Amino acid sequence: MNLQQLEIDIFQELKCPKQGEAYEDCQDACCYNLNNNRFAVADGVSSSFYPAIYSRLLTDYFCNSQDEINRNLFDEKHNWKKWLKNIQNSWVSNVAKKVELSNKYYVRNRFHANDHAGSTFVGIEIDQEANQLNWKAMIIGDSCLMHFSYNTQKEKLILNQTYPLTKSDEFNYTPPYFPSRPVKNNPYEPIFIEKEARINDRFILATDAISKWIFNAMEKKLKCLKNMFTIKEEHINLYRNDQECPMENDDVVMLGLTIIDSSKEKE
Amino acid sequence: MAYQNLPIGTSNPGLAMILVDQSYSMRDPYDPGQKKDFAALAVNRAIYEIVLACQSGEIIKDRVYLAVIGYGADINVLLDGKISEIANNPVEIQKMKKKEPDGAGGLVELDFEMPVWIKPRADNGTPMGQAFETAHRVAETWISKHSDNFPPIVINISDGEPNDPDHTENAAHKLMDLSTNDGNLLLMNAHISNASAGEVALPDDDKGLYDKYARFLFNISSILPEPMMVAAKNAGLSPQQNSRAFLFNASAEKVIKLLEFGTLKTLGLR
Repeated sequence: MNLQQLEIDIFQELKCPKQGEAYEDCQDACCYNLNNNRFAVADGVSSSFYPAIYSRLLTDYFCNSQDEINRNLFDEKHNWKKWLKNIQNSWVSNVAKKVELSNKYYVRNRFHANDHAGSTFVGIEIDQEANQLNWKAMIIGDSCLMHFSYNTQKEKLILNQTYPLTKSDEFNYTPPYFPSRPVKNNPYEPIFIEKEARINDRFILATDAISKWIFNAMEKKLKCLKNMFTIKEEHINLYRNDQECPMENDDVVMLGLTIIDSSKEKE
Repeated sequence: MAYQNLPIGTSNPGLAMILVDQSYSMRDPYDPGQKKDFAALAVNRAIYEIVLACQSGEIIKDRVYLAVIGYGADINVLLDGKISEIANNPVEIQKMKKKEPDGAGGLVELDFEMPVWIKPRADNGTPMGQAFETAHRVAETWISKHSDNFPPIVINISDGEPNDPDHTENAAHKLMDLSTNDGNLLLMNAHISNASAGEVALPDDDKGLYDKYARFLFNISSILPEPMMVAAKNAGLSPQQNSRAFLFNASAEKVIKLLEFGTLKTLGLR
């Protein structure tokens, strides 16, 4: 196939707070940039310190920063450490401004004690070298990436693989995460994946609650999965209260994208 | 199945209630001060940890309601409300320096503002039965508005025999009979003592309890339901099948673990 122009269609973008909480209380973040084909979701650990600022910084920096460290993130195995350091510095300066203005003892105590936020993360980049399409991802924690390909014989989308988790029972309350300050002996490192992509491939990036629910529904072969690519914010509470396969009441972010051959469209 | 509505959140908040013995015997020494000092410190610290676990930036999310009842010279509902209201209204804030590990093997001194909600107090007898009755009223009111939520958790910290054991036992059982649609109220008892030997934690039967008062407290402590076993382990306790939520001759360290278990860990706050 001679690709003229790689194009990505965002078919799904949803962000939903816990049931009973306000939209602005959602600690999860989602971002994409169609100029560099980077897409990301992050799930701020709710009991950590200013997690919403952190999850937003992680996704925004990954998708939008033009600096060399971000552009070269996937080039060398350990580039992520410098990459994270930049985001950690931004988080500290953002939070320091908030602390300066705060009259809350609990805010000052946590800042003086060098407390930090935590966030899981999935970031994916889709690129084209010559006529070869590739996708590269960096993932930490239990936010998941699901990769689907179009099977021409069956004439339908088939799930190729999910990353980093594959089953609903692999989720727990203590997933690995990126800390917003350097943590001594931090045991967590992201995983990196690089694979070939094809036209019509679909990717879903999703935080833990909805990822777990999708895995659960797949394991139980439930009909609701048919609507997986068209889930909207207003459906989330219905799924949370579903008897057969209830989704955990947690913040939800989900981003869905399809690779399109735009040259074909133009023909 | 009971005890499933977890973790708690703003749409399904929990109720944690702490009863503090403020009778005269709480003036007894308890290293490094008196029992009353330790009880107040432990409760203030537990409240502060709950506040931090409900904090989201500047905001305290109302994932939990909190009540504290003191009993001694009288019965006082010292706190009763949403955690956000309690967090923002300590009776005082003590400024201090706190030593924390610096991450390189040394210690670093940090500014710390310790909020105080409960002051040490120790007078008269031990009207534990009346305290359970007051707890019953507070819990019943809360349940009437949150009937599907995880049931209330009541933690009683005491050092001595109640004024009227029969009345106390009846009041405790009435309290444990309260329930939401997610299970019965859970009553935990922590007996604090200087005795260096004979500490009992989460016993599964009363065979090893030779003290009459220990057996009394065993009988008025809830059996830990299965879903709480992991939470107890996460708080550093060692529950068995059919363990009672009960400490006897407990050290300060064990009482703090029980408070952590009964509030943060059980309710899934941290």
